[in-house]
Amino acid sequence: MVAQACARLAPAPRPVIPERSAGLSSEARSALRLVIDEMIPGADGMPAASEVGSLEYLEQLARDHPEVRDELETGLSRLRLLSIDDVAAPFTNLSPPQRLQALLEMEKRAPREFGLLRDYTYEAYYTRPRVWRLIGYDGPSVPDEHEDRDELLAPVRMMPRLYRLVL
Amino acid sequence: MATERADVLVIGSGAAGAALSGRLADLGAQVVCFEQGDWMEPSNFPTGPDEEAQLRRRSHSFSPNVREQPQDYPVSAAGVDSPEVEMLNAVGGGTLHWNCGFARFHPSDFRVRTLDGEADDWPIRYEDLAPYYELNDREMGASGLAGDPANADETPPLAPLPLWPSGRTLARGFNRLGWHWWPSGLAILSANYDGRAACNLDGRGWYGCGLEARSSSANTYWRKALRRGTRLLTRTRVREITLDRRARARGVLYHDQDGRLREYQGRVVVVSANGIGTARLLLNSKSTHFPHGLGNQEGIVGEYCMFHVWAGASGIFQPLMEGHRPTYDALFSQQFYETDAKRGFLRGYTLLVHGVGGPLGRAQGVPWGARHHREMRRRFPHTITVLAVGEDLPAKVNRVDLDPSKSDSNGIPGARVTYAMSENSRRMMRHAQSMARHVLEAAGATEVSVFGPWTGTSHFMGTARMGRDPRRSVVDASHRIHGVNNVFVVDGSSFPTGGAVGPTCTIGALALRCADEIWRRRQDWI
Repeated sequence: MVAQACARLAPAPRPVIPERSAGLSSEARSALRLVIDEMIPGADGMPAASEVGSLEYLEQLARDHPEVRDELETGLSRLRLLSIDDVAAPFTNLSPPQRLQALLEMEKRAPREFGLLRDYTYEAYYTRPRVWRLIGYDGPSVPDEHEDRDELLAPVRMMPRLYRLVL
Repeated sequence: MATERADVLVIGSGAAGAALSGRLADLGAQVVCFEQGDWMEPSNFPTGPDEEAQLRRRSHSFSPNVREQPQDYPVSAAGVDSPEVEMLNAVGGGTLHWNCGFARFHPSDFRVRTLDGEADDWPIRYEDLAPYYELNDREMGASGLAGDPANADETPPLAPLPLWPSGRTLARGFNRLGWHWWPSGLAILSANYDGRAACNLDGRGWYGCGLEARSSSANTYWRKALRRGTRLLTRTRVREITLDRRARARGVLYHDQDGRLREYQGRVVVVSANGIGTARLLLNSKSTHFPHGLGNQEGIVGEYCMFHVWAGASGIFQPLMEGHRPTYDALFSQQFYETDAKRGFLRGYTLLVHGVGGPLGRAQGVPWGARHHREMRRRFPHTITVLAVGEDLPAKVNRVDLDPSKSDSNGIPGARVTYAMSENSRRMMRHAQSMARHVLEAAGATEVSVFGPWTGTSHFMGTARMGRDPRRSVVDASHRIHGVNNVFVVDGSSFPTGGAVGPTCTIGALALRCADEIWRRRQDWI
């Protein structure tokens, strides 16, 4: 009876429902696609970021979490300004070598904002199940070490007492 | 103002509050526990293969200053090495987001002054706590292996968890050097136990065993305590402990779920709000008897704050290491735990062979662009990390006090941490980095990098410490505040010294012992 009373007293769990936002602008989306593929290109048998759904991941994240949208927009807008400063054109109008150069400049001149774009890109890549399969980050596995644990421990078991006795 | 009454009022539902509430309920006391947070819904908990990403969101941050939920309170950092603290205000407290390390203190940890001439001895011995360590092991479902030459007499109820390739590789490294190592004692189920399912060995994410397998106060002590009639009031925040004319606790003033101020009267009050929250509550409980805060007649509530110090090394190996597989510290070494004056520092540290986490964490520091995939493939899954957790000796200048410039959602002043890492700790961590590098190289690492030292962020200790001398301690050997017969403090704040292992196992054992002390004196309060 007491337990029932306690159960009644316990409030229902409150799920965390993030505030939804408008998401990224179309200009930001275009720039972001180029950025993530410069940062994680297709190479060495691995797909580029945009090939595994990283852009869509970030768009959803920006819709679900206003602070993520704000940080992405901050990074992209700084990149746009730097591009205009350096080559008088927005990042989305640059050639591939110019894009690489613009990002290298941003890394030097605006490391905080650059770090936001890099970290979100890495997150959007290394949370994709296709990438997990390719790099060996897969599901449950059965370890096989039980047969040699005792063998490995044998020299340790022979050690004298290592802790100090206290009278 | 409406008033209710109970035998024992417990403030905080984490490792200490839960164990103490459960034990007292077992013994027959009528217990009410106040928790400022809520139950944490498992589906809301960051877990699974993309857990690293979930933990980046503000709502899942471990920092109350980032999370800023109504149940949180601000903790500002004022010292040169003050950490951005991590804590969770929910049923279970810090045991909801911990590594589940469940190592005990050594007998020498209770006699630092006697053995090493520094700090203070505890007013109790290892032997006083040993039966409670055993009881806590059973209640929490500890896994591990008996026979460790570095530890006194542990016999965990469950077998150890797997070492995985990374652990076996490092074990060979330790053996080549002739150093101690042992499978870790963990509060993670290696077999089904007490109605909970064993670790599923998914090997992805810090919480990758499955939430039920990872023991917390919520899925162990609280389940039983509620069945036995303990009342747990969630989303209630205690504002202060009130006293009667004889300077005995009368009860607590608390804010209910709607923010209304109410009173609960109790024959005994126990504070278990963690090493920061406990100091904050005592300092906020000012009265004519204790104008500077309850138990603070000598001005030492909040002082001698300890956090543990950390450093380590990562090694890259050519063979696959699957370092992410153990979502726990698979093994540890206490080769350097006890004081050896030749090393140039007092006390010591534990080396932990640490689960390295998933690919997102490993990608940090990997260059972007054309070289990204080649470098990432070299590191993942080929990395093993060795972490050192070192004893942080208490210093009077390291402290928790009130921050009058910040307050929680009920308008109660927040906490402020002032901390500087000692030279002894820095020397210890330099030694630890060197030894971590040594063992990684002995195990075959082709490239090793060291990191740290840094101040720990989640082990809050020493701010209301135990002792025999009322001038140098806040509570006595029974955890009773000096000069106040019916207020007890038990949690990390009770530690006179911090040892070099995670504190949770010892916090739980202290709380069980404190419950027995309270019950033993029940003729004083019934």
